[in-house]
Amino acid sequence: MPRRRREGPEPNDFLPLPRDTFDVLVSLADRDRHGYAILQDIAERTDGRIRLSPSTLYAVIKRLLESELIEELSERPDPAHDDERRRYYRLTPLGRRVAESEAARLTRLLADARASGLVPRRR
Amino acid sequence: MPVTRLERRARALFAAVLHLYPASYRDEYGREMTLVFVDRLRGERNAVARVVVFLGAIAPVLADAPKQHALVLAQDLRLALRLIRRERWFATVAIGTVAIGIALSTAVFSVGKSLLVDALPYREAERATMVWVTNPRQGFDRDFTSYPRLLAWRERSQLIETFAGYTVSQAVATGIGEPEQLRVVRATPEFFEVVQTEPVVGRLVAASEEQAAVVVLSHGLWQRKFGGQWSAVGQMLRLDSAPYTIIGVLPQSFHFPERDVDAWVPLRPSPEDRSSGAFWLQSVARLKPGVSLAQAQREMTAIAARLAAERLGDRDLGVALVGLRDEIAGPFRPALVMLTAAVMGVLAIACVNVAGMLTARGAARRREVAIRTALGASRRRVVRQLLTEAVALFVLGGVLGVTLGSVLLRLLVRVAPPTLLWLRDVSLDGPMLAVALGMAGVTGVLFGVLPSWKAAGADVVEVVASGVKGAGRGGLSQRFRWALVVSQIAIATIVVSGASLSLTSLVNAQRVDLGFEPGHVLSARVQLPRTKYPEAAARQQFFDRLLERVRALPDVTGAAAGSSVLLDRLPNSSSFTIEGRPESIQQPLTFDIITPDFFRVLQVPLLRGRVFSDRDRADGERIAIINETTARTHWPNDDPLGKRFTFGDPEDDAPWLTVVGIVADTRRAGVDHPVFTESYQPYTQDPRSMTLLIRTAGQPAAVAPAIRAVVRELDPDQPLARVAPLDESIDNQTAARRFNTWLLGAFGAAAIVLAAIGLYSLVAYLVALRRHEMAVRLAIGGTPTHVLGLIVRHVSWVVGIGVSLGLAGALTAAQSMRSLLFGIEPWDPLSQAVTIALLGAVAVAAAWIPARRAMRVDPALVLRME
Repeated sequence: MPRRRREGPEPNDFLPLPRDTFDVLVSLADRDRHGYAILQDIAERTDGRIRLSPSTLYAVIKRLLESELIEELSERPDPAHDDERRRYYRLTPLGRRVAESEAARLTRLLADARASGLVPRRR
Repeated sequence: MPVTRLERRARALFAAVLHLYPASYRDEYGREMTLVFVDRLRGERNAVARVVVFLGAIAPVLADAPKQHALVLAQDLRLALRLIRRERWFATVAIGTVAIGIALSTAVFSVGKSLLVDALPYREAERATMVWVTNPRQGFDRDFTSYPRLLAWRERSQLIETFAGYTVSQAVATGIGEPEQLRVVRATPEFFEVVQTEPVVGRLVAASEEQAAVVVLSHGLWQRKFGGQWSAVGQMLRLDSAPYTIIGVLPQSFHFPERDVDAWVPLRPSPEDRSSGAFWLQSVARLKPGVSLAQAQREMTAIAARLAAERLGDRDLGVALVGLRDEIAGPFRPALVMLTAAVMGVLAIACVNVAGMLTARGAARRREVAIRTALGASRRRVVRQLLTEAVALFVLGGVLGVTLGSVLLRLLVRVAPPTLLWLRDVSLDGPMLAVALGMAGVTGVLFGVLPSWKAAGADVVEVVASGVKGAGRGGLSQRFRWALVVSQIAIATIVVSGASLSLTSLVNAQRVDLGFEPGHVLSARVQLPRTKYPEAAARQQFFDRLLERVRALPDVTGAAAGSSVLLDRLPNSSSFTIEGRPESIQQPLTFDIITPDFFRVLQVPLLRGRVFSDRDRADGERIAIINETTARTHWPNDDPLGKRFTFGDPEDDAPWLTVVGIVADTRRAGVDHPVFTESYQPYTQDPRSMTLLIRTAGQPAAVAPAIRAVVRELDPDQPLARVAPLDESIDNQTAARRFNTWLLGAFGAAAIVLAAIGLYSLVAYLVALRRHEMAVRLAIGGTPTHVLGLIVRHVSWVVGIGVSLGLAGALTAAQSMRSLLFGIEPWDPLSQAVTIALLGAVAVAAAWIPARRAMRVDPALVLRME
């Protein structure tokens, strides 16, 4: 059988995602953000339960950049309001597919838990 | 928002903590992290919350920084390994050089330190000394003593605390488990006051227990017979049927006077032992605190002189004190001192070689580095990568070196002779290993990175324009490099010359004619317990029947027995008196008891008279056979046949022995011992313990089971000891020489390889530097042969000077090795010629590869590149 060359990584190769990684991807899903904005977004979404430290955040960002799930923007999205010293990050198409796959995976898990009565059905 | 002082401080502190990260990571994200940190700090109003934010930011940095370092290191290593793979030849040679340097230096140093420096496993061992009787007239430099002489020494010496006498013999152990033949030390009760140690269990023999029936077990026997049970103490062990109470167990590290001793018991000398002048006791003494060996030796020499004046039996005898370490390690000292001293030299050579290679390579990469820096790579990044490369080389070299080192050490321990009692527990010496690895590491960092660091800072235009010519400035001066290679060749010459002399000595020693034929002879020791065979007749009957049955075995062509063990310890000997001569002769004559076939089995020719026959029984005339040397020494103008002599006091009605035969001389104690004056008597005297000598048609070891079976048939309780082909004993004797040859050989081989690498890298460097010149020469009509001539001239100078210096050193070293040489002089022309030829051949081979490259220089290509 002729071997098919793979065209780069598949989203499933990254799953399951660590919690911090998923949070960062989610916060970049709707718009490009800089580091502090990502932190704030995560904190807001989780009612302040999750507050990443700067070092944790950038360790995640470095990993995501290296695996090409996010990219750094060369131009700033909103020059009027942003801080010129900041670096902005954006989801790559691969990053978006990875985040979607992870979300789908979590949904399936939740559905399974509901089906077994472990979690109350949504009212 | 105004920036508060507190905020500034917190920010500075955080930035400082970020220095825990790798520089590249910090460069990339440090500023961002600080900004985010400040943002979070500003987001909190009250002081407590800010402290929480501060601590919450710091702690993860501490956890994350090592991870980031590991990631960067892994990345650098991957890159370095890729480069190493690309420059496979360079990497192999560099790693090999480091490995050889580390392996050799640590292994040899560990052996040397263990034998020459490390504490012996006895308490205050430096105070213990062997006491040997010397007899310069007969060429004995180490002989046993007699019991009366031991007492005389003890009585007269002021500087020696105590003397102990001992003898090693066999005994059959019964009562616990299978009967087993043991090696037993019978010692005067002071023994453990001289050679002090702590028992593992129980106690040792006390000074008052001269006649006590007590036994101290070796650790090995304790494990074997009692499984290491403490309850062994107090139990009864029968040695040759006599009961002994076990009082203690010695530690595992205690081996004295030999490696395989099983038990120590009090000597319990008989009245004859106490008065006999026979040389049968080995002796060891303990100096008083603060007394040096030299002081004690002076005193003992004086005592020996007084004894010689007072007592006939002590005329011509001297005393030699030999410290325990010298006694054991003495034969190896010259080679070991030389090698241990050379170890640091070799390590330095290995490092310098690698330094040279790295410099040459740095020169070649100068351009690359300069261009990369010019193109915007940060100097730090370039250097970091080079550093990782160098470190990777040295880590690989180090790992390989440690592995090789322990293999080499195990090999050396395996070939070490059994007399090196404590060498078996040696492991690689930690501090030496650290030094070796450290030196290698520093070399790598210095020479792997510095030249490139310079290149990275240099003006790219200048570097590129200067080509390789400029490279010389980055590294060691050329003259220094030549000097290094010369010294490498000199060291290699010294060691190889030593190895070659040692090997020739080994071969010579193995070729020496022993006077008897040890091949195809199996030897085995049978010791009949006095308690079970009290009558001489019963013992004689046992040996008669034994030999008769052994002779009947298939494959056995002859069987005989003699009272002493050939090729082992010095034979028993005594002064004697010749009938009709006024004075007794103080030159000791050996005495052996043998069966009639003894000389036939050993193939020793009878020169005159006759050998013994079965008719020579106890009731007949007492007769003896002497060897040629005895005949020549004591009857120079006479025919000894029919003459009589006695070992006893002629006034005292001692039996006279009539000489009936003269046999050829043998070197019965081995090649290193002189031919003794010897006498033999028929085995009618007291054949309690005999060595069987069985000549076989095939492999001697093959008949051993059949012989054991015969002995078991005759007496199921009677063990057979030290069953071994006779030529194996010769191997044991040459073990010391083999060990030296191994040490020097291994070292010599490595020294040659290192010198070859040094020469190779030097010539390669030279060729690289002079490519331009050579290209010009070729372009204006010079021939490749001419270019080769240039290189040959250089190499011949280096090799010539190196070998000459080395030979001068080798002769000096060989003087100190004299005791190890056999049948060869230090300036032996053949050995030295072999050394020179070997080094010359290696030099040619090492220079050939780069020289050929130089001959193939394409002038057009080189000149265009410039």
